Amino acid sequence: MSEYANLSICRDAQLTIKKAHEDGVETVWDRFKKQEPQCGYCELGLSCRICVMGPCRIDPFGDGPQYGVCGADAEIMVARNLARMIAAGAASHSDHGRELVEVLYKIGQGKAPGYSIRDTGKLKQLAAEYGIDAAGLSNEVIAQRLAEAMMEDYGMKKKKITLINRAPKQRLELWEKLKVIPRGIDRETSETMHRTHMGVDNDYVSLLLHAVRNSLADGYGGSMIGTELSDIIFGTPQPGFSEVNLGVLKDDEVNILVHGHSPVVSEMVVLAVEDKEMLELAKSKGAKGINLAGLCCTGNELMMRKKIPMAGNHLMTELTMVTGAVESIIVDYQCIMPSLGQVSQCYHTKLYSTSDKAKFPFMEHVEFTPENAKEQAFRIVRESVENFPRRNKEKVYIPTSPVKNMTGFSVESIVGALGGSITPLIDAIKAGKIKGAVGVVGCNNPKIKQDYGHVELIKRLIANDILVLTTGCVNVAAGKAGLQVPEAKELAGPGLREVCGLLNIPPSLHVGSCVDNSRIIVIACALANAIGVDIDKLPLAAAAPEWYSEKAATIAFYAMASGIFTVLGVMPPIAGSKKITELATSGLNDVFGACFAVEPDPAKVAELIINHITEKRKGLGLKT
Amino acid sequence: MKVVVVKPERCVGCLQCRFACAVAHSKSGSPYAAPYETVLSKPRIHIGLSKNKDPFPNKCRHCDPAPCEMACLTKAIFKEPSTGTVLINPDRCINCGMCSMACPFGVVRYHFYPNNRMAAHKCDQCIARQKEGIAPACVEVCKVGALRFEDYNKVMDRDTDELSTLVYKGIRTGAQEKSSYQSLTEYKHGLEELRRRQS
Amino acid sequence: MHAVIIGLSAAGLSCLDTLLKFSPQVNVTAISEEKYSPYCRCVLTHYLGKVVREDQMYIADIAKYPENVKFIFGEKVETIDVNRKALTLSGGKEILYDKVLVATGANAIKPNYCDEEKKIFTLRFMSDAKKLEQHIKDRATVLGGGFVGIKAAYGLLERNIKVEMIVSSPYPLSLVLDEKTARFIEKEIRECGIDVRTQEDIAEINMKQDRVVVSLTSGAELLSDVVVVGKGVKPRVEIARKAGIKVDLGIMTNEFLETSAEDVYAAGDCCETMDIARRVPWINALWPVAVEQGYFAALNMLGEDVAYPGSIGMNSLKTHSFHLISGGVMKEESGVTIFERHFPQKKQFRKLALKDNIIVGMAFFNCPDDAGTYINLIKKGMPLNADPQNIVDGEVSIADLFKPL
Repeated sequence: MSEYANLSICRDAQLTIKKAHEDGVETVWDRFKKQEPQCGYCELGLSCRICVMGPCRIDPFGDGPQYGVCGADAEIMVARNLARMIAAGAASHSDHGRELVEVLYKIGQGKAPGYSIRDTGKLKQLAAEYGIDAAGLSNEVIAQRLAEAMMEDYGMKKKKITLINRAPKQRLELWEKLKVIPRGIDRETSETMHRTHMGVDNDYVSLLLHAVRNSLADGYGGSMIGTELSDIIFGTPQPGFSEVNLGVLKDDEVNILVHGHSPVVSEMVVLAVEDKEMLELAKSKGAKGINLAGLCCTGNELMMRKKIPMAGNHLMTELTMVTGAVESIIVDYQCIMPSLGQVSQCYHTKLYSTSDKAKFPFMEHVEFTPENAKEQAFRIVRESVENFPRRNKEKVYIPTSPVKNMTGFSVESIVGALGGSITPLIDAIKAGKIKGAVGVVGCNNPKIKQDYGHVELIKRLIANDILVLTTGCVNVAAGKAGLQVPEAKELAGPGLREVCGLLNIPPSLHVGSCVDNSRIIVIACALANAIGVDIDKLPLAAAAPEWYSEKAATIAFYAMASGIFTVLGVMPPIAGSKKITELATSGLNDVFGACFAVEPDPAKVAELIINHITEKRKGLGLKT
Repeated sequence: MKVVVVKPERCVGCLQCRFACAVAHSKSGSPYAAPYETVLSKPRIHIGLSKNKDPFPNKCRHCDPAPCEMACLTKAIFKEPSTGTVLINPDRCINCGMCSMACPFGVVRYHFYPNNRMAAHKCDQCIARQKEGIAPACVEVCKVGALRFEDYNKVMDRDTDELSTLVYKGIRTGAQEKSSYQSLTEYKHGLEELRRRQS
Repeated sequence: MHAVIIGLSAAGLSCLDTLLKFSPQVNVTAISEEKYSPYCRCVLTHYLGKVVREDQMYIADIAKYPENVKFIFGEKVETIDVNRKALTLSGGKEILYDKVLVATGANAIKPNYCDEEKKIFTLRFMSDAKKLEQHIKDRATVLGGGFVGIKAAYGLLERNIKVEMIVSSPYPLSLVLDEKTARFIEKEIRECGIDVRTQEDIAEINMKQDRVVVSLTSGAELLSDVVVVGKGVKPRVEIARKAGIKVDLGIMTNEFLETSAEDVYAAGDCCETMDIARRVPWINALWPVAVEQGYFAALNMLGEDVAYPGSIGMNSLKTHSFHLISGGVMKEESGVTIFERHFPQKKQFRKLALKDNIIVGMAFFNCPDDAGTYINLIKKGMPLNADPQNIVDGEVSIADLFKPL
């Protein structure tokens, strides 16, 4: 059993990995082991496949080649590779935002059955930000105009994207000086691909500054649009309770999981599973009901808004099927491992892909468009219900019981909980009851024991009166560890405990999905504007203890560019260039007022962050 | 006599040596065609992984006397006198497994040969290439100097020089410059240490 | 210097080749009592199974040896006079020696029911195999659950005939493995279609027309075409005993493989040497051990004074369905800790036996890649620098055992 305890801190993972091995199923951990040793050139960022004069690598020991065929040195190689990672991450979030823009537009045209405007207040507020005069216009027309204005953010028409203006003016001035204000969301990604082509941008500082610009086009562009439009269309999250871990699966109900990122798909599935006729059908098949649960970010979206439970985070996705209790998994895009199809061959689970962009082996493709989404969702849910009799009841193994998780902390609901403004929060920070706030974000990675990096860090931060905001996979980790319920205040330091007790909130707040990291940016901007300083003066930090994806790299970049010290638990492929490593870990401080650190040990990460927050408090003249 | 000398601390785990070895022993000798041959050529150099996730190149040492040669029941394993290479004659091999039992380094495997017979399989020091005056395939592709083809005594002489440099550098400067790969290795060791502390 | 080698199997041939390697001009007389050119007797089971041709079994091309080597085939050495340093052959001829190697090997133990008239054979010499194969039709019985018995059974199975294996112990390989491991192997053997009957012995053998009727102690009766007996070997020490050379389990040797008589050396199955795992004098009657001893004997006969480190029991049993490599002592006794790990999905296991942090025994099933490393660690007899549980879990690679600075 100890070898399973080495892979994850979660009991549900340990038990299902064991079952997976007994069932002859290969997991992500098995494939990771087979990949070792991983190539050192690539880990250092010193390999380049951008053109076919290559592939090239640079010898870190100095004896072999020191330049690629084109003459690129270690700095250029590492910078180009990193810039492409940022571009890929930004593109992913931006496509996510784009889809929501399209849905909003179709809602305006009346061509999106099943979708509606749930938060008209936010619609009007955002329209105002985009300079749309909404007086006398119907919501449908405002929706269309807003969508059109956001489409311009994606293109070439503007000098800068609109929501960048949310940043404090000192930060905007700094970005103007550095020429990193994003001009268009797609434009910056496209330019990164251009700059990293052989023979274009060969100055590592120039490349990295553009990568920063690309990441800001995500953080204040694609991601932020994604968050805001999801709130407008599906409702701004309000606090409430839900549950996490594999125990949310029910052995007497049809279990349907949604995986991926876009609420455009998952919200329609919600409509279908709540339909009365569908429930009758389920009963006729011998099930007590239909149980919908989420995985990864689409799960985060459903949990925040509808309090739908989550079965697991990134490394749990294969293991859900191993329980033998899942009738179907419906996926859209991002973070969906192509291995899911292979695993499903051992069980009765049916897999459905819904996006033209994202097709997978052994998955039935059911294309979702804003016009047909509701209809397709009903079809898939019906087939899932009809799959229930194929479940082998003797082999069902749902380990552990679900853990309660408080959720729904959008900026609006945090402000609401504070009584209508962020002043109480600022006061608590000034008084030292809350020393600062940290966004613990990101994914899972088999290189780090699952959820260990997240949970150990959060425990230490809250014990030191630091408020924690979680997004993405971290939400599930913190939830499973019982850190996201008001009772968890007992684990917090005295100041934080007091505030949590007063407001009846947990010390670790679930803020949303990965695009909802933009909510953390909004809070940071709001705090900065309220106090009248730039973000880098605030006692804030960010940590991605177990990140794996390019999207996470982009988020780390826009956090740093916004002035937030960011600690990464997994080393990015930059160590091959001493100059870039030094820049990343200290030089950037002089440029953006924030930098990165790489540290896998959560105890040491906590120390780094606590010291950083103490420094920032001193800088603001606050008592430490 | 020239031997392949391994410097495991230089190995970055890129596995190029394995790829080059398989291609060099394939029928076509081409990296594009080799993966599609009916009897797949298999690499004869193996990269072990230490507990600290350090890669370790492991191949036949062409020992003298060779334990595998002593253990071979059919004299399928023999030493080629001019180069000192220990070779396997796949036609005489009866797959009894005695050679893998005898090998202290665990470098013997069992694979299909082009004549479609399975037999014991290990590094042949690229004897065909040596006869043409070129270095073994694995040595040729290693870009970090983890594999070198040199006269053994010259290697020891050079190592003596390197050691003296290190010793004096240590005494005089008290500091040693780290390569970037070393910083990556330290990070990975730290990660392993973390994992061990929790088990 | 005139060196004489008595016996031209593993030890004798190895000694001859080593003498010539280090001293190409040395005068050697090599005497073999068999009429056949040197061959490997371990391959006889493969020969029975028709997997190997007769010509593939010969391991030395007599014609290629230089003129300073004289071969005598088909004659037996009757006596050694250690004072006069002279040998007498069966034909009466006398040969004088400066150094002599006694590599007479061992005979297969023949229980009292062994009778070639009744088609019951041991399988030690080429002549046994040739006689045996004439009788094989469609059923064979193997007596003995050791490595020879099992290999013979598999060899016979290759001929697509029915094979029964009779084992007097509760499980096969009882002298080498502990019960748990041995039962695992037993299961594999059964799954291959060999009928294994344990805790059985032969009570009586009769002939019924052409067939052999084997009556077992349990009362069961088996019909067979031939019976192959693999019940161990007995060292051939008569010539040494007659010469007054000290004999115990086998011909006694010092660390230079010299016997109690000066200039008389011994190597192979006929002599006893130090067993590194058992730490007592022992005979490990195995081909690679004999080859190694022949090598060391040759160096010492040339005056090099090279100490032989001793041997361990070891064997590789490779069939079409499994590969077992075992070595040293795997028995559970006081002071010995066993570490093991089974991987039923992959049909693999690893077992190590340690005493005072030194490996004394190992058994690897279906994971031969690094088995040799642990065999050699037993031979090294030095404390282990890795966690044995990690080793059996498959987490330790050669990288950890041979740590660079």
